[in-house]
Amino acid sequence: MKLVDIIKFSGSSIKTQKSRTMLTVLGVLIGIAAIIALLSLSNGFQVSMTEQFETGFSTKVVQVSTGGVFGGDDSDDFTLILDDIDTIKSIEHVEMAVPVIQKMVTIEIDGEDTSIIVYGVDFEDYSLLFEGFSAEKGEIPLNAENDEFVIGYSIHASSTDEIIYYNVGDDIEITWSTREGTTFKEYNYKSSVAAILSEVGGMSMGGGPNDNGIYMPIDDAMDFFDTEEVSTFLVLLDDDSEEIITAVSEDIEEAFQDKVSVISSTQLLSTIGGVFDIMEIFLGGIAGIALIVAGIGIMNIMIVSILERTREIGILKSLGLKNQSILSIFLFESILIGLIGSVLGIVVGWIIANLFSVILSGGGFMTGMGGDGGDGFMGGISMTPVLDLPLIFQALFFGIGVAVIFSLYPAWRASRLEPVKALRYE
Amino acid sequence: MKFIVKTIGLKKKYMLGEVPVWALKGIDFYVKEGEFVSIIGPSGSGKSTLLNMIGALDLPTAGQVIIGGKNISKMNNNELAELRQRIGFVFQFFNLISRLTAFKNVELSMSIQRIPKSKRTRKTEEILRMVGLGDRMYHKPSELSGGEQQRVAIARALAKNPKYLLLDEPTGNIDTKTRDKIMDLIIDLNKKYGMTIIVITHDPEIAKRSKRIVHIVDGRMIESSEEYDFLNKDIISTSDHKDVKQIVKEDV
Ligand SMILES: Nc1ncnc2c1ncn2[C@@H]1O[C@H](COP(=O)(O)OP(=O)(O)OP(=O)(O)O)[C@@H](O)[C@H]1O
Ligand SMILES: [Mg+2]
Repeated sequence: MKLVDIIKFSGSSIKTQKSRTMLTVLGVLIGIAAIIALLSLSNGFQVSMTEQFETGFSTKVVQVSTGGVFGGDDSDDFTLILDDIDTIKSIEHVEMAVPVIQKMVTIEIDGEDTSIIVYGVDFEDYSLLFEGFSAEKGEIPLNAENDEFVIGYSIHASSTDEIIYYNVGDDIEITWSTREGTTFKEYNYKSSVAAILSEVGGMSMGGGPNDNGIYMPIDDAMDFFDTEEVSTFLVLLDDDSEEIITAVSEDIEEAFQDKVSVISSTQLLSTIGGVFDIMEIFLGGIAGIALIVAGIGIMNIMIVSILERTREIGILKSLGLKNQSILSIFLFESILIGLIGSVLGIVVGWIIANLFSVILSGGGFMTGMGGDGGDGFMGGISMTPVLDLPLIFQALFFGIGVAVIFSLYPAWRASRLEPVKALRYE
Repeated sequence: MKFIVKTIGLKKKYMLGEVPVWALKGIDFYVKEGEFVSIIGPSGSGKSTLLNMIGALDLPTAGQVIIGGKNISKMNNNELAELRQRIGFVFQFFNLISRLTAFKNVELSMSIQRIPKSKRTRKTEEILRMVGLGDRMYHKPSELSGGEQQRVAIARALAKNPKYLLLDEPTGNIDTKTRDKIMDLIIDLNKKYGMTIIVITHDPEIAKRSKRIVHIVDGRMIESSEEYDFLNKDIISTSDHKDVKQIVKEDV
């Protein structure tokens, strides 16, 4: 039998057994939709993060802090203080060191108390480190007497720009609560907005500007929070080669007796990349399980189908159809089912991913994940799912592959039926 | 004249659970080109078993089935399949594929033989007209009468351009009137086109219309009618199948 005729024959049987075909297709569809939804979202997340990373950080900057990458290990009561700047500056290849104070405070956003992070930095130095620290509205005050705020874009307006929370010239009151003895005490601080940063998008890492942050001059911050403690030093090097970064990192750690950790942006990128790899494997695993379940369903349906069609197989054999051709007929049925299921699954998965992304970003203002004293790397998460060609091919490959693999055995069994027995089958 | 198919000491055993059942107990049978042979015998005597074997649908337990000079027990699956492509088989229960039209059922024989589409279409129409179904080509089996379905089955067998036609009680499920028409068609095939035909029947009327009758009882061949006997003997019985063996050997 020629290939065209085999395919036509397979097609005719799929058409006749509509409800069974639909059920099998549904099995593949669910598995593939899961893969597409999960992986396109994770892809999108990764893309937005990488973009963010590229605009919001500098490869020449390393961060010195007492915590790890994602926030504090506070078991040690070692803290950095403002005067440590001289120690850091004395190390070779260090051009500049910028201290940052970071505190969790509450402000009112759209009538609700919302936790955000206030960064105390020297505006001039900080803008030298990060190009992203530039005003969309207003002007970043660079004079020493300034006591105004610079705010991230999300503090200014909602994600769709529909609601304006704070504009240039508006006053913001921040509330900091701290423990004194057994009671909590609240301190308030009020100042006006001098500038609004242009939108950075995604999240902020490596100490770069952040859509959800409020920036105030470091002197004011030290007064208000009544502290000499510095959360982080952002250190600008004169070179971004790996050897220099490693050497400087080691020197700094040594200078503080290994009580600090030094994180370079490149290192952060690879750490986060690693996290994503794990996440992708995990998500892929879940989707894979869904597909295997679908595969077992396919096998089950194929076995039943072949039982029901035993007589037909007998007829085909009596007409002289070869075993391979019978195998091909059943495999083509699976390929067709796998193909239909995968294509529909890709469409459905894509719709789900987009719905999900709308729900995620429609959630409005999202606060940063970093805590007080931690590093506050992660800001709001916005992700647009990304469906690229490799992912589509992967989905087709898996969808069809699973359909074929799980029907191999039933199809093989069908092809081996003895003609007389098959014809006698009731 | 050439033997188109023959069997030597053909035995077939089936297992009914643990119990062996010998459906054929040593059959020496032959058919020559252009013959019209009837096989008769009581139910369960082994007629269908014999027919399946000379149709290469099943293999013997012992003895030989020789088709076109070749022992089918020595063939592999592909060779057997190719052989079946050239043997016309018509079953009592029609065995049509229900989702396909009459046309597609008939065409299938030729698709399997890899005959090009245009030729297939022409021949299918031709054959369906020949069996009197020119106006029923695009009906599905469920939309056809028993007699019509059997014609489709015959057309499908003929579409193979078979070396010989095997019919297993082709009129068993058809009323008497239609039965005569089907028989006329079969006899016509033999007379007009010289098609070799072997038919199993319970119907003495049908058997009489054939040139030779082979009688099978309890897995043994007990007699063959006089008219077309190669050895000019009235009866070929198991006791004398030596002579048949002799003939058979000459041809191997
Ligand atoms: N697949 C099988 N398994 C077990 N026994 C079988 C099988 N096929 C046939 N038999 C047995 O072999 C014997 C011969 O069967 P066969 O079908 O050849 O008879 P038959 O002469 O065609 O009968 P009928 O006229 O009823 O069609 C019977 O006893 C039957 O029960
Ligand atoms: Mg029978």
